[in-house]
Amino acid sequence: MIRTIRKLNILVVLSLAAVVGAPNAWAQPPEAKTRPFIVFSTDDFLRDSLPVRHIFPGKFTAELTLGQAHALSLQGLRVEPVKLYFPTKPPGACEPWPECKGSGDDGDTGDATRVSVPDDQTPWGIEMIYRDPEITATSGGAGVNVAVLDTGVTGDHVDLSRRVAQCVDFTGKKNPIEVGSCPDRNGHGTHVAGTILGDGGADGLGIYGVAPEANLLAYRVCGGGGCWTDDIAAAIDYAGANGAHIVSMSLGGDSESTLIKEAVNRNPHVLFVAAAGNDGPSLGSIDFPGANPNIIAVGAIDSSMEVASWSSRGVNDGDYDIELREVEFAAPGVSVESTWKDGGYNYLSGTSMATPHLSGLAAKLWQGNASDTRDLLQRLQTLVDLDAAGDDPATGFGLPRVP
Amino acid sequence: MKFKRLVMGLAAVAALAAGLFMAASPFKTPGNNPAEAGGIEVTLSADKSTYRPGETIKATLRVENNTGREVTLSFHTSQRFDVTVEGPEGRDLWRWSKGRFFLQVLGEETLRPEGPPLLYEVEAPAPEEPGRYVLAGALATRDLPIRAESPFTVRQ
Repeated sequence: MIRTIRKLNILVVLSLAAVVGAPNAWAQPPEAKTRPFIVFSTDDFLRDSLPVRHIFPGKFTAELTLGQAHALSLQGLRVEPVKLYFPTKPPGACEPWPECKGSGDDGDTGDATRVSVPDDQTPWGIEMIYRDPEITATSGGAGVNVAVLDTGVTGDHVDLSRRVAQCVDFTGKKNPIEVGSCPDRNGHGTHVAGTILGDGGADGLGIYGVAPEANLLAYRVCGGGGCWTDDIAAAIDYAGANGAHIVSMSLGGDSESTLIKEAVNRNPHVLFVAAAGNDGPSLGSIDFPGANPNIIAVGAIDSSMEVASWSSRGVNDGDYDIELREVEFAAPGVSVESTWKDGGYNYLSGTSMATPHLSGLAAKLWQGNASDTRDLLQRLQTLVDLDAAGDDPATGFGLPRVP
Repeated sequence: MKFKRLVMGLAAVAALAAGLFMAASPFKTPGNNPAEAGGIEVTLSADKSTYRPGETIKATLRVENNTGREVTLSFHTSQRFDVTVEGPEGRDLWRWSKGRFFLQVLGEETLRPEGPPLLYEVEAPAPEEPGRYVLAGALATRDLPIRAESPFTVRQ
């Protein structure tokens, strides 16, 4: 009798918790509806009452709201999140650390459903990078963590949901680093992420990026008023400390930020890629941070391999040695189709779109460290010399492609 | 020397014209100065004309379409405007975009003839030194290379 009353009590509390939500101590962003928890119980009645994921000896996992998990713990049950954080591991780190398999359990990605299909699953830029106009799917990037410093990411986009390993917002005024939140109200970050590592979705009907097996570290550094350079610098340091191999920045401005420059210098183990800028065609119109010689600057070309007029130019002197204010590569950046914030797809143009093609290729060809990867990209046999012959201000070394 | 006089004379005429333009402004703030090109009007209005040192200036950059037809403005990045606080010699003392980077994506803003204006709100710090200054604003597009100005005074 007592057991029955207790079970009914648990059910009532669970129902109330689902409706009322979590107490403050368990407060979560509203988009985090449920997440997997481990419930340490062998009670069949309880197990049948919950949306169980897997059953293990002595315990099971279930999709719960934080309120429900809290309610269970108040009933004397041991309840733990599936994703465990250890003191020696940075907050928000991907699981399993540090390989980061793109588990997608960041709180934003639980309900990925397809709302539309792309016009082209392998857009022209992908075909160009892969040197294959007939390509139907891409591959590569496994184990490589790519941090996208942008407007955030729609983590439940079906083509991205399995790739999201971290989701962090650096733009908050009260909480400067909010782990588990990276809503993309703009769409730009979602677009960029799709070009790098869109994986076609679980149904294989979606869009493919250059390195669909790479893991996405979605860092929100841009809001409606632009991207504060201190947020970017903080995100760079966070990326460097949280397993990022590549940092991709489809953003820029006219003058150098000391904060960003110093953050880049503090993280030499990371490969940095940034947009050359859209201020061309004047010589020297390249933007920072791409103009920093420690960052790969990427200009934009169209589907005919012609340089976009608005793609910023560097001051390249033709010596194949990237110095201050020099463009290093060019990549597809005109009318690029990719993932969009509404779960569908959209076309955008800019060196913002060229940058993720290069970041994705770096992930696919990752050599174990940043300097060797950059060196490989510069020396690829499949690299195409574009625009003026040699190391030129519009395209630098040219267009690197998959070997 | 003659050239210098000519330039000064032209400047005086321009200043007079600007004064007439300011008087015709629909905004209450003194010194408000709409700028117009091809039927597109850009106005920068501030909440006051006099500020204490360091006080926050609340300003709005307003873009209206008076052409009678739909107008699309092109932008090379996610930056749509910029606002500066300028000293007596036109030197930038503060710039809204300083410390910000922008998304390197092409974009557009469409203004319908009877549609709502584009509005961009900015908060700027008044300079610490008393004196006369200019708040200037413009859209970040090569399609509309004009700027609006709103003079203001800082008093202790």
